[in-house]
Amino acid sequence: MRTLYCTLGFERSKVTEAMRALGHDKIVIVTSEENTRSDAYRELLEINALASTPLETLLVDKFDLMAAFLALAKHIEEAKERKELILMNVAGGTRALSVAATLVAFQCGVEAYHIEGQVMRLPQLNLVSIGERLTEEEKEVLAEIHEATSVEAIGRACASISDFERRKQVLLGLRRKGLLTSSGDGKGIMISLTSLGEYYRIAVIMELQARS
Amino acid sequence: MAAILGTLGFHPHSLIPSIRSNEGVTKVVVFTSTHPDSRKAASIVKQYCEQIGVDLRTVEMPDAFDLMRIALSMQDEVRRLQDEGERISVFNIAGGTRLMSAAALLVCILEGLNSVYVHDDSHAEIALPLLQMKYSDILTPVQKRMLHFLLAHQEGELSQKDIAVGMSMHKATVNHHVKELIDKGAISLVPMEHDRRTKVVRVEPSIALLLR
Repeated sequence: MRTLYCTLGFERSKVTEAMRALGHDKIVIVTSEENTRSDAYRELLEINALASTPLETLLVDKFDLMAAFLALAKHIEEAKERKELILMNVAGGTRALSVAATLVAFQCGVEAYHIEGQVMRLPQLNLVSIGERLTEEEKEVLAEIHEATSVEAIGRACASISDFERRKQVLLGLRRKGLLTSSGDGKGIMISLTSLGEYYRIAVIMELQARS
Repeated sequence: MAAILGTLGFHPHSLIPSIRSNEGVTKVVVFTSTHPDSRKAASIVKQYCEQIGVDLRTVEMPDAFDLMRIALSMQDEVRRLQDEGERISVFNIAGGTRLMSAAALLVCILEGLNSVYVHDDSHAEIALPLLQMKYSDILTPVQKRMLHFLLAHQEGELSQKDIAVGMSMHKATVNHHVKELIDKGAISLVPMEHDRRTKVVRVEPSIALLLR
């Protein structure tokens, strides 16, 4: 199944151009609640009903780049698990929404396009899933870090990394990748996730759940 | 001592927060288009930089919609700065055309740079979740050699048999690597113009950037 994701603002043409250019069996419109009251959205529902094309709407906050990114990344990872072939047009919607979609395309290895007058394919960075960028030990540790977690608590949770020096190396590796910060309060070292770390933690947990 | 890079469109306030919030900024490199409103925005950023004693360099993109040329130009600039010993603090991707932002995101992933977006209303900086990816790390030496061979012969229509002859390789070995390179998003098989039954290998335009 070829699923075409399109970001939508108020211009219907950015979606219909993509529908024309890219073969698809299903459409996912990525837009805000406000935009679902627009003529563009209503007309797209009507057009796809004519062809009986399954259409799904993913509602996001069109001004919140990170929230849109996380919602879209999660939706696409789930579609990939169902073995759907993902295509995406990132031309529509607000700038924040378009950047979020581009980011998802690069981070999740999606075949993405900017279709607005001309069809421009974005470079596809395949085989660069989260799993390939973090070691198994890093994933295990990342999954155990909550809002602020002590190094000792991580040690207790991560049974497979019993050696203190090894655990320290894993934490330093995650810090070098910008995924966590550390602070000392005199009693011990506390570890916190950065916003980047929070995203990767969600992705890692999803990956670990998919495995089990 | 730090340098900030940024894409710039019509609104100088998409970039100025990054100059203001980062410590020790001595150099700013702005990527912009030749549009009069973009030039006006660049002149406001220049005035601000002059007032606070920061060196500004403006790189104008002849075509603000040519993703590959923009990305190559940005990558050149990043490497030039790094060769000069500059530490690149952050790449602000909030301004300019969406394709300029997409090119900047791509360069940040390939070069391992921190990337930020500035919220349209609050002007708050949002760190984007990127991890560095060296595309060449996922290619075998033979695959790299094959891609360089294909890039050098882009004008001709090369079949798998032509590649086997040109690279002095067994056809089965070529078939195997072609399949893997398709999976990695580096090439595609398309019907030959004058003989639709024969398929030729087409290298994705982005490979020139990803292999650098």
